[in-house]
Amino acid sequence: MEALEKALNALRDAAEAKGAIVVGKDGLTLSQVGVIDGDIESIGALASNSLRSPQSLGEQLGSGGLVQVLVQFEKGAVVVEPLTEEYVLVMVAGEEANIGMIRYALKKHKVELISAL
Amino acid sequence: MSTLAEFVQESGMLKAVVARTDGTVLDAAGVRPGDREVLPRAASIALRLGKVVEQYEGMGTLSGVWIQYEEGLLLVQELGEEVFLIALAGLGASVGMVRYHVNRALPDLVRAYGEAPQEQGGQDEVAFLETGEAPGGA
Repeated sequence: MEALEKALNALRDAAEAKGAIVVGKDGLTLSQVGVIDGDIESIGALASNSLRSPQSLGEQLGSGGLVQVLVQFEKGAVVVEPLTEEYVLVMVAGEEANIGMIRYALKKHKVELISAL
Repeated sequence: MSTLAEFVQESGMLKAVVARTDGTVLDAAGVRPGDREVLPRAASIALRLGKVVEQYEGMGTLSGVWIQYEEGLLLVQELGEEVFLIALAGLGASVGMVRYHVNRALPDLVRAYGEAPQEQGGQDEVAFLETGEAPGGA
């Protein structure tokens, strides 16, 4: 799990995000870095569960598999991306979040994250 | 041409609808009758996603959701308290470009649908979606 934490930290630093979590499809948190307010276990579980609907929506729209969900708020953003069949990445960014940088960082560090799983 | 149709034409989006959170379609552009239930469903999914995180993060209110697929990009953007724009871009769509077009059209879209959603244009297209008949009863 040390390699995963290292990869998560590298991603969080590059994305300038507040925190990042890797959570299983069963909703259980595997690893987390950074500072995320609130109940981490709940955020991870709910975020991983919430991917099911967009996945089936993509099939209905004929748009292929789900790549990434980005939820934007007044004061930040949350990115949820499936890493493997079993694991999902949840990243929380603050008000100054640079969406382009988050997407770039994810692209850059995704392989590293997957290989650490 | 409705504000939504203009947005779809200028932005190069494949299709778009403006819908209320209860799923009522207020306007549609580029949408086949078969999509009329699918796209508004995206709004409820987006809302659910947003409410989940909003509850725990104190990040303010939800402003938009982007769902990227292998062959398309779906965006859900709030236009009013209970009104959302749901739009689908095709393969190769640039997130930055889509965002640019959305931001550019947002004031007009909010004016057209966000403030008085039940009385705005596009009714013919909605009727077409609901009945499967062309506008004007053809």
